[in-house]
This record gives sequence, structure tokens and C-alpha cells, in this order.
Amino acid sequence: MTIHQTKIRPAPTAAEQRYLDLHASVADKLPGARHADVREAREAALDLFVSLGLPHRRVEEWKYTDLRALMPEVHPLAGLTSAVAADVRVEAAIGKALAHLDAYRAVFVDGLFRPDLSSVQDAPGVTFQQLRAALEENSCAALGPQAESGRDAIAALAAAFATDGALLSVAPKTRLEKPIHLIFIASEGAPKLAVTQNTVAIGDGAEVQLVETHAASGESQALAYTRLMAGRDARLSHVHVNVGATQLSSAFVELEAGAHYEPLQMTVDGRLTRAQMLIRFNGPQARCHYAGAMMLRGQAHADFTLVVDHAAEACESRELVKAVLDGRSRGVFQGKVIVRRGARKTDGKQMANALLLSNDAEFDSKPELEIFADDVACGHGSTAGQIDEDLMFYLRARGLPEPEARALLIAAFVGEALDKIGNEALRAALQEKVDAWLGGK
Amino acid sequence: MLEIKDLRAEIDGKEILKGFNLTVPKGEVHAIMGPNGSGKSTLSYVISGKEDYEVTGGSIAWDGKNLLEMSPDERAHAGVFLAFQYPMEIPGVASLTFLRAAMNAHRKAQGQGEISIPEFMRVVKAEAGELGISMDMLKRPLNTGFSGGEKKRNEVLQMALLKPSLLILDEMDSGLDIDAIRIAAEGVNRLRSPERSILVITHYQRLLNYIVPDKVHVMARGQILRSGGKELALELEESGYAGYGAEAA
Repeated sequence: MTIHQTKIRPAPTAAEQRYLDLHASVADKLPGARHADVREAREAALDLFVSLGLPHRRVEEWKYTDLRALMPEVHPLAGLTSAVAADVRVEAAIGKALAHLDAYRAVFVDGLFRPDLSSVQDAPGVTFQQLRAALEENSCAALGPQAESGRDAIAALAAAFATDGALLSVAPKTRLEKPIHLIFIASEGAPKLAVTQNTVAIGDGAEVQLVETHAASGESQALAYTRLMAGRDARLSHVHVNVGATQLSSAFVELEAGAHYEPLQMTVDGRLTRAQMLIRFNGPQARCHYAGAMMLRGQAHADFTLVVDHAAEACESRELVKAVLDGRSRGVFQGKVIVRRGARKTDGKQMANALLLSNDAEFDSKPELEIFADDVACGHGSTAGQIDEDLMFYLRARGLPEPEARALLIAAFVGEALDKIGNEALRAALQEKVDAWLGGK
Repeated sequence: MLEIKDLRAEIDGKEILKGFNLTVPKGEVHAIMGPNGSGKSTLSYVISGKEDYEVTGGSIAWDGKNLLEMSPDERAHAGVFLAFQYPMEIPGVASLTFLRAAMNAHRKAQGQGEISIPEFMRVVKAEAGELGISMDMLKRPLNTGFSGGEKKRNEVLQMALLKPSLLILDEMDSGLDIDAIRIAAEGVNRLRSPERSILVITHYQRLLNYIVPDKVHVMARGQILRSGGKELALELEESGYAGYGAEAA
């Protein structure tokens, strides 16, 4: 759908009005506010958001995640001033193993870059700039919303409110030995809204592991929009972990010819997670292997929404989602595969498996295929079930007590989504999250 | 000593074991042979504690302990080991991870600390070597994509590591060629000892060429109908189960 510029639009409802009010109160304090271009870009984004409305269940892409019901409040915007740096312990916020992952780090606390906690500046072949600094220099190119995200309310909100973010550029053929780890933390205290926007451009033939960890305590909300570009034959693995936060994220990923992209989306107990990705193949022979893992209990709600756009021929996409749902939690996977005219030899497959540990948990899986080309192979599947009692008996007959046997089977179920992680330390850090979930009640 | 007295068990309201009696002294190997549907596999599951079966009467005692009061894992800690006819595939759990978890569960039940990783690797390597199981294979998910023979060798490896005192082998030879049967049987024979009782459940006599029993029992319609020495197995091979009401299953 194309967004036509028009002055006719419905009056904002109370839901949108809260964001308009928020914008009115912070417009002069946002980074770049003194530049007319930046202000205009932000206002255009806000207009777009109002025309789209806060997503609700009558919008097909948001059918299972009604933000009007799930996120009725808008908290004060964090990150307007860098005067007082919040006292924060990264280890406490994101867990020991992830905090100690050997990586080039960029840490953002309450929507602001923290050079004192970061080391990304030292990464060889990598150019790093803060979004905040770019905006202060009147460079509004980093602010969208781009045409591609014309229907993306998260992208629009991020452009309107972003206080900071990482602008990363990796030189062609760079092979980073260590991952780049972007850490976003909402500090404890009064609930707040932290908004960031990131751009990562990977040069031709470069090899990068990118890790994003998002953590927020209590009622705080985090909103992030990320643009990723992987050049020809680039290799990009991208782990996105969400712990205990209310988090809305959207990523737009473009892959050039021969690029390999391996994203892993993981949510452990996130109170409310909406993690959407639009992945587009711009050139042939590129590959995307997506994995998703969610472990939820209580009232947690997680929604992984994915669009894979085969705009070039002979590309391969794989999607595997593993959902472990306990209590009254709800997991959602929406996977759309578009095969454009001329995208012959496309190979796209998706599978979503849910393990329901309680009678009140719910899993919604919605595959969509839009195929406009011949000679393509596309498939999808979805399962929801309980723990296999025959497997339980096998383990118990070997001496494992019931809770241990159960935990082992759940870990194994989720493990399939984590298996592709080549970085052992990272794999162990994610396993720590799984184990913590299994051990907690 | 394993003592089963007047055991009755049913599944989904259908009685399968109908007053089953058996005594296996320590140090002995007993074979239970019988036609399909005679209740052989049910017997193995009821001894090891599978919850699908309801025991409606009788008793099972191992070493004087009432097994029927114990959970499957407690029975395992008491020395009971069922080698499955169809060992389960568990994608996502490396065989080594599983073996260590099982060994540690046994040690914990006996009040011992966890086995150290070097010690664990040493004993696994030694036993796996005897069975021709490569360490690469043990790094793969448990039984996933393994051949029938590999799965059964894995079961024998588990026995060798967990050192149970009561072994129940359920149709260990099903789906195996002669070479695979021999390797698995040799593994079992290494475990024969005066401290162990072994129950071999099989439809065919050929496994008993490799694991030679002290006694053979013929089971049909949920009961032992006849008992004898190892020559009884040969007789059954000749005459079949027709005389034991195979059709009554």
C-alpha cells in the first residue's frame, strides 16, 4: 500500500493524542531541535504516526497485539539530557554472561549513549557515530521514516522521538573477531519511555556478529527502530535478545547479492514484546536463516512478526520459531513471504513450534505466502503441543527426576533455535537466559 | 531378587497382565518369550513405572523394596534399568549431556557429588570404545538420526555407565542385523554378575544364542504358562507359539 500525502485524516484518538502531547512537551529538547530540517523530519514522522494510528487489532499486521489495550500509557521520554548519567550496573541489568561477553560494546542507558561503558569506538574497520551527535549537526538523513517503512508505526514513532542510537558502518572485507554488542537499558526508578534508532551498514564481503540486548525493569517502555544493510557477500549474524522489558522493535534489513544473514530473535519473559522485521533480498543468491525463541509465563505477550521479501531471484529464506508458553502467556508468530515477479528459484520455508505448558497459554501462528513468480519452492508449517510423556518416561527411567527431565526437554525444544549460534560464549550466555527461565517461577 | 506376585495391570480399562508371577534371583538371566500381544512389553513398562498403566493388583519387589510405591526415577535409582525396544530420539539434547545428567542424578540419589568432567569423559570414552561408539556420535543429539544398531548400542552404553542391578531388555534384537545383535549382546554379557538380575524379553530365540539364559518362561495372555531351561527356547523356535493361544491377544 502506498501512503498518499493528504491533509484528510481522522482526528487523533486518545491513544495518538498522548503521543502528540508528549511531542509538544519535548519538541524543543529533542536532539537537533534547533535545526529546522530535523524538526520537520520529526514532525513528518509524527504526522505519519497519527495517520497510521496506534496499532490495534483491526489492523491486520497487529491482529494479535493490540497496543491500545496492551500499552495504554505513555511514559515520560527519557534521554533528553545527558547532564546526569544514571548509575547503572550492566551486569545486573542484562545478566552476567551477556554483560561479560567479549565484544565491542555500545551501551545506551535511558536512551543515551554511555561512552564510559562502551568500547565500540575501538573496533577496527568500524566507524561509529552517535545518532544524537549527527542530529545536533543537522544531519537528518538518519531519521526516516523511509519509504519502506511507510506503514510502520514503530518506525514513525522512533523517528519522531529518538534521542540517540548507533550509526555504525563496517568497512568492506572487515572481519571482526569479536561481536559488536549494542546494549539498551532502561534504568530502575520511575517508568519511562526510551526511544532509539540505529543504522548498521556492513560493507561488501565483511563478516560481522551483531548482538542487541534490551533490558528494562518494571513498567518502562523501550522502542527501537533499526536499519541494517548487508553488502555483497557480507556475512551478518544478528542476535536480538529481549529480557523483562516492554519493547517494541522494528528492523528493516536489506541484503545484497550473495549476502548471508542469520538473525535470532529471543524473548525471555518480556512483559510485552513486539519484534518485527522486514527483510528484503535486493540481489540474487542471498540467504536469510531466521530463528525465533520465546519463553513466556504469567501474562507475558510476545509477537514476532516477519516479512521476507524475495525481490531477487535464487535467494533462500528459512524461519524457525520455538515458543515455550506457560501460565496465561500468549505467543504470536506472523511470517509473511513475498516472492516478487521474476524472483525465480526462490526457496522459502518456515516452521513455528509451540510448547504449551499450561491450559491457559495461547499460541497464534499466521503464515502468509504471496507468490508472483514461477519455479519457486515455498512451504510453511506450524505445531502446538505439550511435553511428550513418552520422552519424559525415557528420561525418568534413566534416573532424572521429573522437574529435571521436564527442564531438559524444554531446553532441548528451545535449543533448536539457538543451535546456529557459532560463538560459544554467546551461545552460553543465551543458554544462561534459558536456564534462568527454567529455574524461575 | 526380583519377585513379582499375582501382578494385574490394565491400560485404558483393558487388562493386560492377569495374575503374573515371576522370581529372578540375583546372578541369573531369565528370558521371557511369547507371541505378540502377550503382555511382554507391558510387563517391562509396569516394572519400570510407566504411568499409562494402572496396576490393579499384586506386587513387585526388587531387593525387598516395593517398586510399585516408587516413581520411575526412584526405581532407576534403586537399580532398575529398562533398555527400550525403541529408544527415544531427543533432538536438542547431546548424548553426552544426557549421559552426564543421568549419571549425576544417580550419584545425587546416592548422596554423592557430581562427577567431574574429566572423570566423566574418561569413563565414557572407555565404555564407548568397547561398544564401537565414537565420541563424535555422542556429541550429536541423543539417538537422533541414529540407526537401529546405534540406538541399541547407546542403550548398552547407558547400562554400562549407570551400572543398574536389574536389567530389563525389551526386544533388544528388533530391527538389528546379526552383527549389531552380537555387539549389543556382548555389552550385556559384560554386565553379567552375581549381583545382577537380567530379564530378557524377546519374541525370537536368536537373541538367546548370544545372551544365554538360565531360565526361559513362556508368556501368553498376561501370564507365565510354562517355564524351563534354555532348551525351551529352542523348542519354541521349532513349534512356535500356536500351542500357547497366540490368537488370544
